[in-house]
Amino acid sequence: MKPFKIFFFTLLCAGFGLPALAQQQKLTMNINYAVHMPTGNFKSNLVSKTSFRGWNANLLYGITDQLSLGLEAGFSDYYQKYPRQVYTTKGGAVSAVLSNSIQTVPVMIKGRFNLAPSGIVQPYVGAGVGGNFVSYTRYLGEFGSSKSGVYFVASPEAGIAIPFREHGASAFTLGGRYNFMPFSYGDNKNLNNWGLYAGIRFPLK
Amino acid sequence: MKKNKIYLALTAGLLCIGFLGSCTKDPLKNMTNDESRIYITNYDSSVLFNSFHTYSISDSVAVVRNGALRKRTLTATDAAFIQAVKDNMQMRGYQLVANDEHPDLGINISSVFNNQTGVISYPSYWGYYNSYWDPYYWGYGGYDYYFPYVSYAVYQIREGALSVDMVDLKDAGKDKKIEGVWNGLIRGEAVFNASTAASQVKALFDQSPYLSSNSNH
Repeated sequence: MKPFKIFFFTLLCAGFGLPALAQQQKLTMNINYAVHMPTGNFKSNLVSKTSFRGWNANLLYGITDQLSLGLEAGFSDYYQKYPRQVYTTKGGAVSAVLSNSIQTVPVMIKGRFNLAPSGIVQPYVGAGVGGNFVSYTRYLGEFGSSKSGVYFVASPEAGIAIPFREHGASAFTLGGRYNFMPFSYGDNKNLNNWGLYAGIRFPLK
Repeated sequence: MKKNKIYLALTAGLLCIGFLGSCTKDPLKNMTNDESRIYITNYDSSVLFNSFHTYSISDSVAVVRNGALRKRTLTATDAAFIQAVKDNMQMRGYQLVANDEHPDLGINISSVFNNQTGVISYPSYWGYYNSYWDPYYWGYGGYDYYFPYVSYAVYQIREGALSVDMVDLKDAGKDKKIEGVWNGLIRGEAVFNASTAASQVKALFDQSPYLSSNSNH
């Protein structure tokens, strides 16, 4: 992880606890464990395995009983090792075990719409758009070459919140989303994936 | 109560930072020595390898460090690599002869160590080839080596490499140049190991099917 990313996310993550934000009304935080399943181009070219190393967290302010707006950040680590294979090069060949290691850190402006704000089970839909910090390292044997950058991300979602008590702000959350993640490396054009998550929501004020 | 929530949020923030560092799977920690190695071969595609029938191989291994010849050695590992090359050349139909019997091909083996870091194509290795392997050994004193292809070893350097270089002695009379026609480079962990020398050299030959005195290449 590059130093600027650590610095950026230190600020971002610490920002979740800023007292100034907590002064506002109906401010909630939602932290989720997440798994991500590569699709299409991403799955066929780079990593086909599901990533079980992910999370997301958002800070949402309730504009109305149903509509919340705020920020979200997430993380996912993808890794896959392919058996030794001979790759043709200009003027020769390379035999190597190829490993792909990819980390994505989307940071988005987020909106969420609660379809049943007073229900025991509260379904919701939402969407986020923003920047996606991508770090990709391709290893031939133990020799790696990296590419990193910031790309666009859009993430529509649907899920349910189950409050711990009636009319309570704290809740168990469960949802799914599709992450559109454009990315360019050789023949690969995106890092699109399905995400499933589960976690808790709690009020900051 | 409010303080507790702020502490909770701060704790969550710190957990986020912790996740960033700890949730990444390190590919290098999940790799055996065999998996760490890469085998790179390059050749002059204009050369007809079935036009060569005899070869000779140097009787020791040159140790090259940062572009300079340090010494020649013949350890058990060196001998294993030399023998492995001989075995594979024989399987491809080439006949071993002494270096003073006008072989068609000459083969040198070098251990290459570079301290530099970054992305390179090993120019410093082939750039000083005359200083490691004097053409006089092949009976061509005063000649220069010439490698028309550029090595594709564009990877970060961390440790030593083993290079097997094949040069054209049959056509060395032209321009007083000895042309390199094939190179095999092995890089990674535990390259210099007598017990795996045969399989490592075999990997180089397996990905070079055109290396045959009987082929149509």
